Amino acid sequence: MSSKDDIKLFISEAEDLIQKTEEEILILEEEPNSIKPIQELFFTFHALKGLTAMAGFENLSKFCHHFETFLENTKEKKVSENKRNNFIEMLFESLDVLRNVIKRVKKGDLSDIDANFVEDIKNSFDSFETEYDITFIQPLNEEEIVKILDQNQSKSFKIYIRLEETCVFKKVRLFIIFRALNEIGKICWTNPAPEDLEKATLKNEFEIFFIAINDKDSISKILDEILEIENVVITSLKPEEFKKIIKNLKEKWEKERLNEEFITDSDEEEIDIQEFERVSQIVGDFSEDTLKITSVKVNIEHLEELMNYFGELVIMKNHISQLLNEKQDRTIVRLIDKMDKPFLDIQEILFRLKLVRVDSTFRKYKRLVRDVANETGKKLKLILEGTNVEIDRKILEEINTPLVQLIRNAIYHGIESPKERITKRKNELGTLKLRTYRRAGSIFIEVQDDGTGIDYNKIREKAVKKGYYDSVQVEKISNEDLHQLILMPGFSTLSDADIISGRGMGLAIVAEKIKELGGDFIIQSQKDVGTIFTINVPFTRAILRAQLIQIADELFAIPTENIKQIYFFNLNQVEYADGQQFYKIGSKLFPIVHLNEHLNMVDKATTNSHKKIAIWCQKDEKSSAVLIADKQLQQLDVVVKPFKSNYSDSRDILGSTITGDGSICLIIDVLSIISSQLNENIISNLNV
Amino acid sequence: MSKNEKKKVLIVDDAQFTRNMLKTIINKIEQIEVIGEASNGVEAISLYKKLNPDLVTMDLVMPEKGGIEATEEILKINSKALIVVVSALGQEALVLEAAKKGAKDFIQKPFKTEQILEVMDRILKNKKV
Repeated sequence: MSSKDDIKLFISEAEDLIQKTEEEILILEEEPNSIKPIQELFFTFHALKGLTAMAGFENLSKFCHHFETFLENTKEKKVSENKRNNFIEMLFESLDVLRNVIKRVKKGDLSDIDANFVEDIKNSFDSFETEYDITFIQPLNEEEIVKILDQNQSKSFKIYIRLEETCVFKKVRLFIIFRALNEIGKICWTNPAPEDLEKATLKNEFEIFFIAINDKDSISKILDEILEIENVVITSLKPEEFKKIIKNLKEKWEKERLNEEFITDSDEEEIDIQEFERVSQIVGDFSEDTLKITSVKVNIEHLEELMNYFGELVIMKNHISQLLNEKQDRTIVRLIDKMDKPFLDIQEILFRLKLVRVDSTFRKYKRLVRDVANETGKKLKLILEGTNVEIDRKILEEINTPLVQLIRNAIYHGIESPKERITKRKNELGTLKLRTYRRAGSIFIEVQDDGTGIDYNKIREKAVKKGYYDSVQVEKISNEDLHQLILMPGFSTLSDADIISGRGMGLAIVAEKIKELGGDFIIQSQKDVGTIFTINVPFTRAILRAQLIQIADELFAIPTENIKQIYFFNLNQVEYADGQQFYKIGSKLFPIVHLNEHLNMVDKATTNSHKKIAIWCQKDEKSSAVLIADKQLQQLDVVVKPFKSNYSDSRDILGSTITGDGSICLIIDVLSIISSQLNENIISNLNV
Repeated sequence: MSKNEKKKVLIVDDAQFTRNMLKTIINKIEQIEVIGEASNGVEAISLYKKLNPDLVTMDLVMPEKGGIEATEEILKINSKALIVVVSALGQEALVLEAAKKGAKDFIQKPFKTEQILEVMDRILKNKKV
């Protein structure tokens, strides 16, 4: 590899292939009898072989070649069940080998893998037994034979066939013979037995026990059309005799089968040559594929730049339209307004470019779950739901670490050992569910396990021990408030992890990270039923449509996607319950949030209450609130800049933006405000 | 079979050399003639539609479209099409695949003249034109 660009391209292509390989291995693990993943793996290893060879990794290329060859073989001879796990394990290990090389290449180390290692791999493949499945002979059982023979017209035959010595593809030859016979009758049994016949292919002669309506001649005619048959002898048999012979043969075969479980064939050298030829044949098959190119790879940095430039353009456009509004030049104003549509379109496309489906990352968790389950001796299945939800690539990257942490936690400490689960009368197989959905501008990701749940009483004990509360106070604290304790860094340490299922340290970090992303982290748990961790990250668009509002004398913005309706504030619609204010819309009551109070701006200015506005905002079907602000201004496309404040609680602020005239305006995180209003509803139904 | 009613054969192989060999052998048989040659699966399918041959010799590994796909598609056009696979040694899995897709029979490269003659004889003798 000469240039830096070449190396970059190599890394990117190799990583794609490795990822694809991993996905297919996981599919193979789930559907061991399916040919398709084997086929796909064959292709990915083939491609990897070529790629690594081109890049000068001779041994790595050989390594891929052995996998490819073995997979090619496996297409027709399935790996026997007891070896299957070994085989899949080997495939997973191959990924680690490949990934390590890529990792080294990234650091500038272009050394190849050890040649001896490649030899070892080859040897371990040789140790795999493969077994045939009955694929084209489907012998009839006894009852079926009797039934057919009872029909008067059917005749029973013994057909002896000897193939020519030169016949090489005996399996295909058998297939063609059997297909031809099946067209005019039924094959009841064979000698050697069907299974042996298909796999042996060493003997050139065999007998077929056959029922047909036709006579000898027409059978003979059919077989006559088939190549490589040296001799055919067809004998008519009486039904009684026919049944007896089959019965004896079957009994004999079953006895033999029991005795020879561990006999292996030894024609390895010959097979190797054939394999080599087969592989070299196939190489030529791939080079000239014509494909329609429907997508191109784009450098993410370029995309980010494009977003930034466009953002600046939006700000400038807003500025121009504001200036024009003052000038009152109608034609130009109209023209500028017309620009809105293309601007929106571009924005939409730019936005979509940054989206990826969550399964691009989540599929990797299957491997993680598998590995952690193996480490811990837990048995569980991972269910992925909503994998087609799309999310900003950046956010997906950022939540990867917290999600991995949650998944590890759930398996290590949530889901019980199979033994424990049985004593709890739970299904031995635990369930870990990763559910993703989008709601009102947010992405929700739930990590749900059906494990042991959080032991709140133990947390209370711990809180007392640590001196946060006394034993009387602590009883009054709700489970939800205890979650805040769990999330406090240092409340629990690894050494006494077990008291809250080890969720102490890791969870504090997770919560911190999610908060950094402007998201929410919610815990719901019930002892012995399970735990749901919900990560709720804003679906932050870099550019979003916002409603500008005035609170006291300050300018704020609310994402329009959170707004259901804006009314003039009407005091008659305010009702009181439990010491809280509610706003009545239709027949329903919604909690009121006075934004000036909420944002600590009460003293700033006096405003006339009759001019106020009531903004009905909705988080989801169940949770809404009415926000009271002082004045409704225009709507704008704003470019969101992350807002971080070191000197105040920035929880209710989504970000900041610059308006047309250059002033800074804070974007209110409506969803967070609604959540804080509806805290009591956090623990919903855990009965899944 | 009268002389005017020769059986028609379509040869499919990406190697000119193989096509020539097959053609020479087949054209030796009086009642059979090669009416077309295709060098890949795509050509094979379009020529099959155009020429409606009595028999097709089919190579398996070819650019554009392989013989297995071509076999499958030709049998979709005519479920009674006679297709004989002509494959290289060491392709048993591919040949089996082609047979499962409906290829009538197969021979291996390098083939002997007698083998080709035998195929034509066995497979075409009972078929009506």
